[in-house]
Amino acid sequence: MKNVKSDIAGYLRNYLDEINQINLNDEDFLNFRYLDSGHIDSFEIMHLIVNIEQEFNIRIEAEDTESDEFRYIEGLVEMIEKKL
Amino acid sequence: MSVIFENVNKFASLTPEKTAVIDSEGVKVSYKQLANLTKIRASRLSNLVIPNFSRIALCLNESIDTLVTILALNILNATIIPLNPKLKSNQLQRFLKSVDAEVLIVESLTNSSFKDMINQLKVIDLEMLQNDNKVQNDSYSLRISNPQEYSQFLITLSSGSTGDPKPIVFSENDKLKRSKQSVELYNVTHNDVILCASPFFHSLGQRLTFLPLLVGGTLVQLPVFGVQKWIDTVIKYQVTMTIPVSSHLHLLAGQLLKFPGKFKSLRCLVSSSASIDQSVKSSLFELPYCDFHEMYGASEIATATSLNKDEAKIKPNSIGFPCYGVEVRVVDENFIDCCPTTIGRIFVKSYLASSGYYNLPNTTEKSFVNGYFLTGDLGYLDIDGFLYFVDREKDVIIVGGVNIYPSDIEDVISRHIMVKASVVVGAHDLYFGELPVAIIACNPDDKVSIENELRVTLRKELSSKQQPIMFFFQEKMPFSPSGKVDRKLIRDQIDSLGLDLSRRLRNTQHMT
Repeated sequence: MKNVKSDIAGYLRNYLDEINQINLNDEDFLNFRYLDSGHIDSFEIMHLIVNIEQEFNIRIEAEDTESDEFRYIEGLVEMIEKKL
Repeated sequence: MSVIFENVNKFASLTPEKTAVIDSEGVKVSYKQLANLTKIRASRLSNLVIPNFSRIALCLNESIDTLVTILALNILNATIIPLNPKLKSNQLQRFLKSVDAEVLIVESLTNSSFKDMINQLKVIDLEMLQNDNKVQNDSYSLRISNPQEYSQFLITLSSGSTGDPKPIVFSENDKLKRSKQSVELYNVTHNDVILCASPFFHSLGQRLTFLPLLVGGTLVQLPVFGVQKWIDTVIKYQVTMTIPVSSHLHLLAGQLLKFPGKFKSLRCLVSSSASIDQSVKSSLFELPYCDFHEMYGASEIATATSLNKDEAKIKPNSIGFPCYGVEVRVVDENFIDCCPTTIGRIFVKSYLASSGYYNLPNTTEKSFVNGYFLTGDLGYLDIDGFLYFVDREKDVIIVGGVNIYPSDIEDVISRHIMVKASVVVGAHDLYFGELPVAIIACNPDDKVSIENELRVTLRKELSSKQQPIMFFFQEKMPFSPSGKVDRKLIRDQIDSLGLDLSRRLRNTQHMT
């Protein structure tokens, strides 16, 4: 299970790194509030959602994006994992 | 000319302790501090880059530091070229070349895409501009460049982050006149606290930055827009005036209408950049305390028409009456003026128009005909001279106020070996106006792999706003009898699906 989580986190790190390099260690990265930090703009969020859906073959619903879980990496990792 | 800085300097004498700017962290800088910081920065810049170089591109996020750099470049008569800090490396190189940039100022040189630029032009970061202990506040020395062509005070890339670069040239006087227009339209004074939630590489961000500093008011910076952040900022700093892009206004409307008492400080609110939903617009005109306006224009010509509260009562569907000194015509394909209420192409002649596009005489000539700017929009005038927007005649997709050119996206998509043909159109979106959607002709068995591969490629090569939010696959592309792809038909078909593409994003309340 831990590997699944780290794979998802690795995917997210690569994805977000491509947009803007993230200089955080793994622990800080998991706590990273990528939405509130301004790391990605609104269009990048929309594409992030679509790319996660494609990559993991899951569906992210409108209610998911309302949750606080969606706003930081660890929460998002858990959200994706639950849907696998 | 340095008129903008001279104004800051004037207010540094008249009202030295008055807050000139407040950043997103709540840091306040007075006019006296801003003038001093700017002089130091100008001194540092003059030692580092001026007068050897005078065409300075900025890839900076909005901050007090960025503002200080802009004002310092104003002192030094440099040409300021603000660029989107999120441009991809290949786009940045293309844009820098199109404006003959000599120096690039970035936040940090640790970003690898900026390192690639070092071979092409001088690249410096903000840290290099900050570390100068030798400079004292009262003993700065400047090596001002040979006065640049004053006509090249600032160059804005019209598309923001997309399309073939169309660098719009502004003189300082153009910007001063535009601010003066805003002062007159919206009764702006030194008592105003003006919120800027638009990036400086957009002409709207430039207007909202310069306007408060020219009247001795206060500028409040909000570099990353979020509904709650916007509301908190307006309330905390008692913002009196702002010009949001229409996509932001759509999101804010609910709160503004539900809790008008919270926004009593907000005496003036102006919708810009794209048309606004009619019901939202009507509701905003009903706001108590606040004077709501809708404007229509373009970066090339500034505000062309404006609709105020009184006018909205009798012309609710109009986008306004031509502003003072602005002439609006609606013409047919032979450039003959259409009769009132007949739809045609919207042409605008304005004393606020840019002199044209940098180094693009042919494009300038095609866009400005006999002094009239061809907006690329279709509309009509009523018998009283009020303008109504109908549609665009160009293929351009306007995403949250940013022009996106389908051909840029189609060029990348068509390079995929399994794609037979592709078309990108703007699907209607309630909040962004439009979002790009791709229709791809291919073998049905290949669609999953094509989409996956294209998303990766597009992410690498294009900005986020250019990337199609959805892909539709079909075996053949629908062509009209004339052999052209009927974009309007495709757009209508997609719109008829009633997709609410930005719904999941809206729930995050994170719309930048």
